[in-house]
Amino acid sequence: MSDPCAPHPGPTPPAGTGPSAAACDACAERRRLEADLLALEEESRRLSDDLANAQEQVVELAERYVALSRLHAAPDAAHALEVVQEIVVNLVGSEELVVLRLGPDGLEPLLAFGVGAERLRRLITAPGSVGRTAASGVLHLAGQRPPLAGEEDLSAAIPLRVAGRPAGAIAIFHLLGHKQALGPSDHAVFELLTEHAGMTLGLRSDQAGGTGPRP
Amino acid sequence: MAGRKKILIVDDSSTVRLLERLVLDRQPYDLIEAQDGVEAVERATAERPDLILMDVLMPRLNGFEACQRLRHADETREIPIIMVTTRGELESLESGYAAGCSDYVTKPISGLELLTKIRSCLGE
Repeated sequence: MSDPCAPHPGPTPPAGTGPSAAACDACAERRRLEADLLALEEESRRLSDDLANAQEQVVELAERYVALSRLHAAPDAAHALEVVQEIVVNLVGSEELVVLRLGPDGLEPLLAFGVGAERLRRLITAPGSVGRTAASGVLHLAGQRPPLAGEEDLSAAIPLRVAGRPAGAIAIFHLLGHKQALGPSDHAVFELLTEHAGMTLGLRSDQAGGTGPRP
Repeated sequence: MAGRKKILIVDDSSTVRLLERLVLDRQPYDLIEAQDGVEAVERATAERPDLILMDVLMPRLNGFEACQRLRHADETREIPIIMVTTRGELESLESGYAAGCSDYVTKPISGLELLTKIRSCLGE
């Protein structure tokens, strides 16, 4: 619909030849309603975004609750290992992981899932970033610095602590193909694993080991 | 409660079942569970859910096989089935659609994606 009151190029029409006062009022009302509609649409978009963010936050909180409750519900170390594997596969998104403890002779694998024998052997003989993480208790994330030779497939090394002291590590290699990168929700799960998985796995912080290796 | 849709969650991982239950907890759905394909077919036949969330890799009967069985039974052939799968399994996603699945979501689960696809499959 054309707007007789809309500004138009050219000289101002002579007095008495422009739109009537009633037409002006109607056009002004229409412009006001259009502005209100635009504002409502913007508000609707903002609320939709807020709802989507809230729903994602619910999932992140649910992930943390699931990780924590499953770890503490594990009746023994063997079940706790299964839970750690499920957490990494289903919450983090990787089907390649190794759980290691700090033993008297260095790193000892407790669980290897989706990782070949040769890769596991290299991890034990040249633990690199995973070994540093296990000894220091500090999280290692790929991308923080250029990867060491032979560690291009390592996505993260998560420290395991018992009573605040280093006790082992979880090495996570390739992520699932559709998982592009680790994010804040993954980091939150890593923190839970660091503080809670070591104890439920039966690890000890005196580096003497606790649980026997799994075949 | 009348009008509430019933969703069957099928996964051999109790971690995944708990997560899906928590994600859907505040939604207007009644949730039931099965731990493998055999149990899924039994519960679906007995309880006629409005939708099924089906894992792929499971003991006894995998998700594709369970899907096929459900599609061949009069009581369950119309139930929408969303496969919950990892990327590796996506290579065989064609098999999933051939087996009769309605849609899929990938692990790790995105809550928003899961809810969107559930609502779409339920016509909400």
